Amino acid sequence: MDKLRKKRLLNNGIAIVLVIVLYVLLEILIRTELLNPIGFTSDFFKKMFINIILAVSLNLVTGFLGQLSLGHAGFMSVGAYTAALITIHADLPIYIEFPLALLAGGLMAVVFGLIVGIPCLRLKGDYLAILTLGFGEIIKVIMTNLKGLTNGASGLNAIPSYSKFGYVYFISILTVYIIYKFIKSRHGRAVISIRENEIAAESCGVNLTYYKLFAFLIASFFAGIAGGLYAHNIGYIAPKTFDYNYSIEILIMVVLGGMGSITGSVVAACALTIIPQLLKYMNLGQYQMLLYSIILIAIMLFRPYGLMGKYEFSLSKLLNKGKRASQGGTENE
Amino acid sequence: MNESKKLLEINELSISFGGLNAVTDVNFYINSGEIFGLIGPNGAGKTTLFNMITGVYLPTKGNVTFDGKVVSGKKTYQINNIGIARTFQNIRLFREMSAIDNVMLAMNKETNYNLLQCIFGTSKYVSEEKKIFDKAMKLLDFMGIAEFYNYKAMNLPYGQQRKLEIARALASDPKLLLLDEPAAGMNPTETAELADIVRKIREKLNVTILLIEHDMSFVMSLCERIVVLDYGKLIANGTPQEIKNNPKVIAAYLGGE
Ligand SMILES: Nc1ncnc2c1ncn2[C@@H]1O[C@H](COP(=O)(O)OP(=O)(O)OP(=O)(O)O)[C@@H](O)[C@H]1O
Ligand SMILES: [Mg+2]
Repeated sequence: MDKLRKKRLLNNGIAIVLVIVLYVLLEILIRTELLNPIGFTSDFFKKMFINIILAVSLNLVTGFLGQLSLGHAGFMSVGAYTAALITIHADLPIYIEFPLALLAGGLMAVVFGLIVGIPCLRLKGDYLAILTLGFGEIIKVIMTNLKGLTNGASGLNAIPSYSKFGYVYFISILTVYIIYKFIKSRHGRAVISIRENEIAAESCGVNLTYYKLFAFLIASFFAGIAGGLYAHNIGYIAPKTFDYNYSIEILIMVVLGGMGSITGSVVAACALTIIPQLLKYMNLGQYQMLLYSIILIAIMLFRPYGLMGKYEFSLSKLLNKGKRASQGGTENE
Repeated sequence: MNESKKLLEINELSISFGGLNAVTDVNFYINSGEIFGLIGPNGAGKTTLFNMITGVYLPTKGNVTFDGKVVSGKKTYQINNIGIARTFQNIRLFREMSAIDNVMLAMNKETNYNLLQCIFGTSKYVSEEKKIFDKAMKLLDFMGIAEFYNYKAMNLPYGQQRKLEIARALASDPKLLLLDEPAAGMNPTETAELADIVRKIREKLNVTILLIEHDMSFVMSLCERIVVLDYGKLIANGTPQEIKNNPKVIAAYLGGE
């Protein structure tokens, strides 16, 4: 037991060091503007890590819980507007104001998650897809019509650019870590069991409504946070920023990476941020949709369960290559 | 010993699907500690009866009481929480989950840690996970499939899948275990082994058992009492000897062939 504990601490230590090393490397790249010519600017990297938050959180609902959600961008929108309105109107030091705004954005998304989730997650069947689809559209209409608050269709601008790369990066890592831990816990087992077989899960004592809602609200929360980060990166948001296409783009990341693989979502979110940028750089931007379709068809043909299937990258397994991992339930990211 | 204490009572239980009366006015009870058989030709309503006991279907008439309390109307997960667990005729495992995770899932309610404790990996989280891991391992061992603990459920051979389903059902510490055709698809050796396991579950774990089975020698040698359903109606209730010689039962089976 003590040995195991030491090993766990060591693995955690290595993971933390890796996270920091990657941060320093990326920060250097951004500061030196080395890759700016091909468009890998600080904005680009921030977008990439925001996409990671979105893909991983959506995977919780669509991949692990097994419910299709078509309105992830809608929750992002709620978070973005909430956070932006707070930082625009409040007058606090940034290190208080920004975290507060992000948190409020996440919580507001949870409130909307409850409104959408409660009626349909109590039922069996795919009602969530329809309701979230409608929700995404309704949010757009609401944001357009609440002119006094949201400035209508022209959107909010002059949002302070608080989303420094470090913020986005560490929040993104934290999101992945939290969702990973959730999945590996008793709660995660309950969520996955619902995907695998609802009737059996309920017969084993799993409260279906509670766990469906639980997973859905966590996903909404992180979508809201991602929205807040997005707003304070671009500095401008409008209702149509978070439309149906954005929701689908996130869904493609999840499907491409592998439903039920956090690793897959991370990889796919990176790939689908990098590819469009490279196309743009090569002046092939107009072929982006064509390429997406080809990639998706290829995936369906050759890797129907996504790039990673349900595979999960594990540092401890990598470190123990050769030796057999001796214990379940205590692995590491 | 409270051998004669009524654990489960089925009162006037009925259900119809559209015009079809799948179960009609069924009455019987099971005492604590019994191994009880439920038999009948195909389509007699046996699985439907299990579904009503476990809250999957709501009876159109009558009710089920367990430990003296009415359970009809409660949700399936609540009925599991008060002590009734089951297996399924067509195996319903969590196919993508490992064998041990299948069992640990069913211990969710006795696992005591919250979201924050698992995010921070506190000692409470570690010790609780270890507690149920060990308990699940013991159950797998009890069923004789401990070596497969790390296999995905879908990759287990058929017979082991049936055993894993029983291990998972036992994980919630039930007082009553419902087995829906546990011997289906097994060869005579496996069936004999299963009979031993069922007895062991009653002796060692103090669990009362209600089982559906088509294998007559299995049921007759294992059960102390048996009820027979035919076209949704209860046509006989008695010891294996009484059931064997009951003309109605013989007619039902011969007519059903
Ligand atoms: N959800 C349902 N909707 C409609 N009819 C149903 C439903 N569930 C069961 N039935 C019908 O109820 C009757 C009893 O079915 P049940 O599955 O309980 O039989 P059984 O005794 O378990 O048979 P077997 O030995 O073949 O498993 C059948 O005619 C079946 O078609
Ligand atoms: Mg049946």
